[in-house]
Amino acid sequence: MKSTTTSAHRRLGALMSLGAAAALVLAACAPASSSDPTTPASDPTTSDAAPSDDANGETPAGEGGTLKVGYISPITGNFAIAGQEMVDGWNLFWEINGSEAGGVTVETIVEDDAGNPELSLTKARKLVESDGVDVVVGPLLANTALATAAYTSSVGVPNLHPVAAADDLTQREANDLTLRTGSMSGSQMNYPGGVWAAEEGHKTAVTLCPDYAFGWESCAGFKQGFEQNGGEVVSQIWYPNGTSDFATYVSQIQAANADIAFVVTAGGAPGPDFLRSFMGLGLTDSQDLVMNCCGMDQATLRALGDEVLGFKSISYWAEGRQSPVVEEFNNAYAERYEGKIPSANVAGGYMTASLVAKVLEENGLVTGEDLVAAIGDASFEDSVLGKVSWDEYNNTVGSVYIREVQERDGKLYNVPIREFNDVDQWLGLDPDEAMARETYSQSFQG
Amino acid sequence: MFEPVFLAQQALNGLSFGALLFLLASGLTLVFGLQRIVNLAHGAFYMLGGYIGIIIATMTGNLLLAAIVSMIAVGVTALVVELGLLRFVRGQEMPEVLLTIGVMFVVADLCLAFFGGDPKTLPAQASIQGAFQLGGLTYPWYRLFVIAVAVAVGIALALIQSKTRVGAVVRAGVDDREIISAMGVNISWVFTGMFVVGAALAALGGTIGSGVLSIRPGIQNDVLLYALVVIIIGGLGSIKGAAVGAVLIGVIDAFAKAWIPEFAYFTIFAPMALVLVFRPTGLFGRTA
Repeated sequence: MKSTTTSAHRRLGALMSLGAAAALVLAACAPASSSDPTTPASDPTTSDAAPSDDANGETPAGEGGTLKVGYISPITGNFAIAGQEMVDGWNLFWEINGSEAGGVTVETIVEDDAGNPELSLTKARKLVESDGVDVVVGPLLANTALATAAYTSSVGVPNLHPVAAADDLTQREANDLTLRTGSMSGSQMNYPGGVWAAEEGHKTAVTLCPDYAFGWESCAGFKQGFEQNGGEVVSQIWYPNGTSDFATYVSQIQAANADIAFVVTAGGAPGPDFLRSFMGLGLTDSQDLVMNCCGMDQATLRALGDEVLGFKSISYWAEGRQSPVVEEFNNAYAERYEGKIPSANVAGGYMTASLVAKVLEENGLVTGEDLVAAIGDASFEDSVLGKVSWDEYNNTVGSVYIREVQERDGKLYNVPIREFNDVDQWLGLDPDEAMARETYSQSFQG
Repeated sequence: MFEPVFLAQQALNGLSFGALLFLLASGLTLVFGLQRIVNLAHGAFYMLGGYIGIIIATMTGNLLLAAIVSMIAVGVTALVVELGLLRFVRGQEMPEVLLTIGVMFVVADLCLAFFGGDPKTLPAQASIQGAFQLGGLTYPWYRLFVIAVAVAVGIALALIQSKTRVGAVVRAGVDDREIISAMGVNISWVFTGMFVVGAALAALGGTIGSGVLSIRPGIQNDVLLYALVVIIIGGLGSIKGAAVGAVLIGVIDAFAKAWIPEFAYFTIFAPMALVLVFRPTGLFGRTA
């Protein structure tokens, strides 16, 4: 009884804080009220004794037992689309392959953090302390991922990251319980883009990135790749999160007069909004442009259609890659989701599930550090992300693709035109040397 | 950063963004002027109008038709909301405002259910293609068109307000509801009419605006925020104020983001704060 009332309270609390947050947004000029998701978060301390009970009371379903997975993703709020895709990718794998691997039944509890780190922490506590999960997967955003990883590693629970790109998850904050499963760090995934741009003969570049960790890391990766190979970044422009009209930034790109422009968005509307302005100012033919993973993802292709044919981007995921694994994944997703082509978020969720399944098949039920170590030992000659293995900091070492938008059977795909293999997160540096530097910001770009 | 071409382009960027702000704020300020409530569903009407406009534009390739259909559809929606919900709480400020929040959530969620989560933009064939060229200056026709639409809407609203009988009734309603009712005007229907017109203006803004800013889940909050800032600067209820506030914000935003990027986060809110400090009723607002 007690536990049900607390969870009801917690839900009410979450609902109220959500309402308060919404009201705050709406009122715009209202004074900052303290909507306080930490209050419900302090509840679980009273049930500290609970987790061991739950863990023992677990009834083995298959012969090999049950792996309880807590899956945190922002399925409401501003990042709802990306968050839902990350969940869909995970579910897709189990729908295709059945939710049992190596005799172990995989049971998933999905929790919504709405992209708010405090809420992620509350949900992670709930999953660990009252649901007794063996592993926490997610969440999606860098800040939520770092908050969750810090907590899960402190209580000895593994934490897998299908999408989160924060460099420090697998660098300064790396530990034996945290592993990036389906993506790359922000600087790592864009570094080869800089190398490519320089090799294509571009001498100067201008960058436009969002003004927060993901943007700083992404731009830093591109800049170092470009400058290590003889290019020079002549201007770096930063836009605040929430920018909707990009015309003023496109004018600045034009004024910078560089050989190539590198533009980063974290997905969603900024991609199409930027490109509308870019194409509107007539730069399509006069300004070389390369975007990052998420500025030129399927949502952008669907929004702009044929207008973006031929545009180039950099990503660790290329839905147009000719590979049986990718085609099978694309078809399975299209079948269930109105013919859509999967994004990097879906691929990340799917990849994570396939890793968990692989480990369970090979080892039976493993938990804790053993689970993370087993995934870290895995390697794929060809996964949905291509050839992948893991370094000793639990980060992916894999392929990065330079992609071009092409049409195939009436649909638009990002097709790889250049592939970089075995890309690691050190950007050509020694790990200790790389981590001794300060973290990336507007003022430090490596 | 100070070359003539760059300055001209930034000025046009600011003006066209301001024009868009005016389109999305004018309906809100009209409704506020008469009914003394902030219609928080305004952003949701913009969103619905945008989606409907994009669909019609994709089907027919005709922007004018898209704008008309979306204005009618959203106008009818607003009529239903007014007659079915708002009438029952008229005159009670808090329930009225809260009800419009509820309408916003319902409309936004229905949009998500019907139109999905992808950002959507006006299809190229319905948009105005190409760019205006003058010397070294290149500027998209579509953004110039947005400025033209905003100017036309602004002039039309000002003329209707000052020159026609309908406008006179509305102005009288703003000044003194009791007297205008005593003179035989059914003020209740004037309210309803104004609410519908405000929503239709939001739909026009959504359709035209979808060629510049994509329509997506969450746009309703952004639009509402922008609209509130504009009408707070301009003065609640004033069309002239909305026009001046919109252009001011658009131009300040464009130049500040280029010249003082460190303050990019404040370019929209700092002017509002300053206006509130020195002129709490807004530039053209009247004291209550």
